[in-house]
Amino acid sequence: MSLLFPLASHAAPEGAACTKDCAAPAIAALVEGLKRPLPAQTAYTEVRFVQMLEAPLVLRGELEYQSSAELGKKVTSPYVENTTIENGQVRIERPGKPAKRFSLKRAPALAGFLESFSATLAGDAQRLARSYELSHSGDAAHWQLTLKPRDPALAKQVRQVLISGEANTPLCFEVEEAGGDTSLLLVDKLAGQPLADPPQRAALQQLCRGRP
Amino acid sequence: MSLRSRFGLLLVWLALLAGLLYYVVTGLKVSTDLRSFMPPARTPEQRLLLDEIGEGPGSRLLLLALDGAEPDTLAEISRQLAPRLRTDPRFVRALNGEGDLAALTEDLLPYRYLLSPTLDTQPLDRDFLRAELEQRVQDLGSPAAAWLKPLLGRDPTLEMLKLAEAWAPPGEPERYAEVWFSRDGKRALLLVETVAGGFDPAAQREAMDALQDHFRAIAGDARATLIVSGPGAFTVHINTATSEEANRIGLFDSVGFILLLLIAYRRIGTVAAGALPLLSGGLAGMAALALLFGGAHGITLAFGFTLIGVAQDYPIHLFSHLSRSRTPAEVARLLWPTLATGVASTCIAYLAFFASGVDGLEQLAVFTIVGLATAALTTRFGLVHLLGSRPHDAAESAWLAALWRRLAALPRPRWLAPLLAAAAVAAIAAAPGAFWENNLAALTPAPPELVARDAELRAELGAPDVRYLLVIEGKDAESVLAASEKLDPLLAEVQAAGAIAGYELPSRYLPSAATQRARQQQLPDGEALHAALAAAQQGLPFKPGSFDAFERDVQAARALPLLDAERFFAGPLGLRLKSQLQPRDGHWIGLVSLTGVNDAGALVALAARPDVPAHLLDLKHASESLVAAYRTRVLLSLLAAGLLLAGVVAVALRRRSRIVRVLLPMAVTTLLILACLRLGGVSLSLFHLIALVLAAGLGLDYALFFEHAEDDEREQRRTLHAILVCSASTFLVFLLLALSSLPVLRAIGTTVTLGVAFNFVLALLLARPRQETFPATEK
Repeated sequence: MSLLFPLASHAAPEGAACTKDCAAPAIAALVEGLKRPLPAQTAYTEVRFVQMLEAPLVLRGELEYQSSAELGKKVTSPYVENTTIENGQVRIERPGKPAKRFSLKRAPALAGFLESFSATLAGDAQRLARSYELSHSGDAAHWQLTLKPRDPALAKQVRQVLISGEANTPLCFEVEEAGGDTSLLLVDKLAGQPLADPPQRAALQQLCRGRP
Repeated sequence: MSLRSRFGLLLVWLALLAGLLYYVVTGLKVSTDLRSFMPPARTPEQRLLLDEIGEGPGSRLLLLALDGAEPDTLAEISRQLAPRLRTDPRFVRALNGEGDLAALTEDLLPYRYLLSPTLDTQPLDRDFLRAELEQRVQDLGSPAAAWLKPLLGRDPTLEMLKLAEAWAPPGEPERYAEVWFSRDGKRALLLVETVAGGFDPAAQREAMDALQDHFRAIAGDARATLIVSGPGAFTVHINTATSEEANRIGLFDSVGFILLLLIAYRRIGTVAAGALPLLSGGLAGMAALALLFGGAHGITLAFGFTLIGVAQDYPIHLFSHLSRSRTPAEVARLLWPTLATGVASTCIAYLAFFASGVDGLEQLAVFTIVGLATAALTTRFGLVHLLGSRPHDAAESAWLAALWRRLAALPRPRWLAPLLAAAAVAAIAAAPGAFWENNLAALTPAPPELVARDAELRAELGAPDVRYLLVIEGKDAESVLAASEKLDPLLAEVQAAGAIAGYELPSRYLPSAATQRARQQQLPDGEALHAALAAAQQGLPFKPGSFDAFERDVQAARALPLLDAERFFAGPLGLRLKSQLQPRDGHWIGLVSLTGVNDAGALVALAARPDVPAHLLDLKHASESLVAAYRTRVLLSLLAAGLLLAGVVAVALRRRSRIVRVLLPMAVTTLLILACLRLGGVSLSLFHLIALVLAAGLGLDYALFFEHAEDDEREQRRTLHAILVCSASTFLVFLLLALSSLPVLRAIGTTVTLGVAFNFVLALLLARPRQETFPATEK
């Protein structure tokens, strides 16, 4: 099932009894609208701005989301690489190489993405609010949700996660690392978008905000 | 003596004992390390064992499991516990699976090119660098970027990661949240190496307590529990179990013993005073050890206290012979020749242990001789003056008189002794099963559930085998390391064949100088590396100058003096290497630990090959041969002791018939005990031998007193009373030990219990002079 297809839900937002670190009603309504049935999958394009590199890395592939604890990230271009995250463990496989395995805790950017991504797909604003300070801008047609980690350890690694989308569909996940590196993940209808070579960060951000 | 002077004497005596106690407590260092109890090594294998027992890397490893809480909690505890243990001086290393990238200090970092095997097969040329850099680009695009990024500029070929992997224990366990976990994901696992030897219970106890303290401090009120396994943990467990059971039995024994004495003598003061000679003997014996040796082994003391237990009979002989017609001093004077003969001959017999050449046995002799002599002398010259003038006279008991008459009428056929002896010898010879038990561990077995858990953890952690060890010897560290490198491919074959699951060589940490030099010569010069790197980066997005630190390190590595053991020892992994590479008496030895030994035969075959520069140490076999050698010395000492004893008894008693009457019961008893044990399927150990010596000592006293009994029937009744109380009390004490669940206590208990029974009956039947078998006329 595509991420494009929202799951109709008329139930009251969960966490109605929320007393601490609560999401504002507007944000709660927005996130509630993003709920998708599982498993979900989508093509993606990831643009990584790494300080060590002159040009950003552009990776294309597929995301497979099984549950909040299980995510598959398959790079298909420009090379093949399979990343699976399962119960806090990351496993990276490349053809002809022994698999690398390490804890999700050692990849805070990925952890931040996974947390925001899965809470979004669950339509669970309160869960999101427990881990992040939430703020929101734009309108119902083009919205941005800014997530700042509450956990000081994560905050040392991840400055913020910016989710942008239109209506009931998230389109971009931008993870800003504390070290200055940034990763922009374009999903859904933006996944196949042709990009400039090399892509510019500002232009991508414009794209995410629906202003091509 | 007046009541006041008796009280004064008691005070002086107690003050003396307090002084001795203070001296012993401050002056006697009790060692618990099994090695100091062992005889000097004869074979190279035994020598290595004595060095390695408790010191080998395998025996010092403790396997830790954290259990009972959520995996995330356990992982967090593991992550905090390991660094804490690393800073604790009681531990050599603490591994929990976390990548230890700080394994080389900053100044040693350029050495990675000399330590890692990469350059053996692969020069740092354009093609290799290109392939590596392509991988690094992919790494930067992957989630691993977060932790690889800080390394890449300096180490684009990730040599530090390769080293960290090579230095991880062979056969690594599963991981969860970066730390080792059991396959079922329920337990966090750690591997800890103690500084203390695995068979040193006191030091291991300290290490175990430290582990628990650290764990508690970190876990706080989390529900997690810490499980510790491994040889050290077993040592502590067995020691605790044995002393707890011995103490429990000792408590019952004391109560029973005191009750028995109260029934026999009806005077609380008398019974209490009766404890003084044995107490004095024990303290004097320990003081003598402190004076002469400065210390003693725990086992020496345990054996020693078993052996001087016979001294508890001395006051009993005195008490049973008390009557209203003689003062206690007169009674003691009359008994003294008999008592002194027994004590002197026993003490002189123990002199034989001095010839054994084993520290532990010499200490045992000193302790026993001083202890017995002190107990006898204090009974004779001290205890008598504490006793009141209105004692309970055993001779007045009607049932004792009846028993005496019945016993006196027993037939005492001359053929009894030879018949029993012959039957015993036949039984000993015919009984099936091994005569000797050489495996000391069989006497102090770890509970099966602990052994099973240990095997489980050992398999999960890939911890080394505690029985087999390959040993490399060389004139210096370099030759040991070279041999270790030569061994590497050979062991890899054995591993591939499935005979072992893994192995750990000293050269895995520190390659030989020759290997380091060869790698150093493979390193390109500055220009060549710069050109290769530039060519390799063509078309890759790295910024210019990204790898300047790498180029600097390679150039530094080209000019480094080769890393030697001395320098490596000072580094973070120094202790680790030290446990596998050590200088010893002018040469060096390397220890190769083996994991998951499936086929010891393959290792024996490997070690037997002429081109293999190592030999296989079978710790079990070596320790058994050591125990056998030890026992031979004990047996020789006992033989000499037996001859000395017979000689002293002969000198004291002069008449041949008397000598035979005294020595025969204990000789036949010894044979009968052996026969019973053998028929019961028991293999004999050192503990049985020590117990046999005690039994013989008891038998000697019984026989001497029966043999010496005076014509007066009332006096004979008192002697019978004395020996009845002696044997009943000893029987009671050791019967409880014989019922123990612990083989070591059972061994001593069974042997002495049998000994008391046989000695009593045989002394009664064989020792009393024949012409006095008919009851004397009542006076």
